Amino acid sequence: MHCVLSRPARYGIAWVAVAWMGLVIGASVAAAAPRGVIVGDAHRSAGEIEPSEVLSYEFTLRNDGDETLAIQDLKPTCYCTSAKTTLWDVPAGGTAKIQVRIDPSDFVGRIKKGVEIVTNDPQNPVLLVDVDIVVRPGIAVIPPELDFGRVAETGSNSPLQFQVKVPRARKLEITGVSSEAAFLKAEHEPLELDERFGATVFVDVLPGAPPGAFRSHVLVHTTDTARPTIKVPVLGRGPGGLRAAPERVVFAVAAAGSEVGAFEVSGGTVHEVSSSDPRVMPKLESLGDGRFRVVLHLSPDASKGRVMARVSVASKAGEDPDLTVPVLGMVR
Amino acid sequence: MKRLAVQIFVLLAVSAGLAFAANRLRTDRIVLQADPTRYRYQDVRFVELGEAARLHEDPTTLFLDARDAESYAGRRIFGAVSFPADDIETAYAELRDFLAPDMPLVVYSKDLLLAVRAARYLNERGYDAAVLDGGWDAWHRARLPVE
Repeated sequence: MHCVLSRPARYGIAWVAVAWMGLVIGASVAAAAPRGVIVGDAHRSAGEIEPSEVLSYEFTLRNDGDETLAIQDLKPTCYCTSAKTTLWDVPAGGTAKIQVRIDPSDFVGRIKKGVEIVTNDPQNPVLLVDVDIVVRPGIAVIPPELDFGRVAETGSNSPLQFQVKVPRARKLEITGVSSEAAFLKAEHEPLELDERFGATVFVDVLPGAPPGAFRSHVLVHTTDTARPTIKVPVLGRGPGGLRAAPERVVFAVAAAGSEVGAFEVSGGTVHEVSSSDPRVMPKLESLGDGRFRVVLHLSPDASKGRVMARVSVASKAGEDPDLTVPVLGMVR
Repeated sequence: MKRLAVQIFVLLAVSAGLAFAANRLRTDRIVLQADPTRYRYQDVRFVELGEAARLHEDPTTLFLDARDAESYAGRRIFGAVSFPADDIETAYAELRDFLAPDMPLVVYSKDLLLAVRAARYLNERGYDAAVLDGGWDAWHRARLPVE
């Protein structure tokens, strides 16, 4: 067949055809690639927070390509940040949830923390998700709780104290202290340090504490709208009522069916003993003089593992327990 | 003179080699390479896997699982107790009666952040809590006892 086109024209057409084929092949290769996109806002704001707050965020990564998107790594931008994904290989059209946790307790002021998501997306292999945070200067309570232990009829012999320390950068005033319980008395005096200020709070147990274990709070009132009250736990055991000795039973390793310990109960009549864990079987014995002994055995079919039981002792049948004794040990 | 120098060098090299080898074999070895994680959490004590496995043999040591309750319910270190750091106030209120200041505590998690947070919380309250280096993943990988 005779060709009507000149040689240069034939070459031109050939080049155009080659280029066209190249484009088609290139486009098909590109279309067959994974493509990762963050659904919604990749950059978020937590606003102002206390340093003790741990933040949790969830970002959605979607694969808009038509090949599997492999998440190769999650790289937090800070040691204070961790990340995990619900899916490492995201199918075409599928999504993975990236869960990000940030502990800002080592920082003060404006910070930005996030995670780099490294994928096999050839066009955009690293996606960044992050959170803007303003961390308030932290308020420290030292010690964080008070334990009076056993308290006499006349109340505590001497007050216990804790300190509330506030960085000077945080503008607040301590306006007073109060107690949730009538038998607790709280007073405070100002505390002035170089870089911090605050209060020393003295707490006393007055006569009239209820029998048995108590747990209440002392409240420190401030002018800070973010933390108008600071609650400090106060624990102890009031006079009277049933008492156990020892107050906790700890055994090392025991076999099913064996005896693991005992405690004595005084201060009243014991009607019932029961255990929160069926593997621990309490048996009540009367010792006379208003004293009782509770012997603890493991059940013959006790399964292996950690035992953390509360043995309840009640002075009246069918009523709430007067006393609970923690029992800790291991069955092997 | 040259021979003496060579002898000193050989002696020092052999001593150093033996010292490195002995250190490597010990479970409580001196860490020769700075671990950035430990540098960042200087206020928290870490226990290496070998030491943790030894502590696990001692039933008076309590292992605390700082992961969420769902993960704990799935699989955990044998004998560990749930202590979810995400709800630390509640976890502590439930566990407090069982703890004693002289009871060794080893806290672990999949996420170092949670274990450090839980250990710090306990140490501030007068307990002796350390963090398991490598956490749940290291324990599980080493095929140490789980339930």
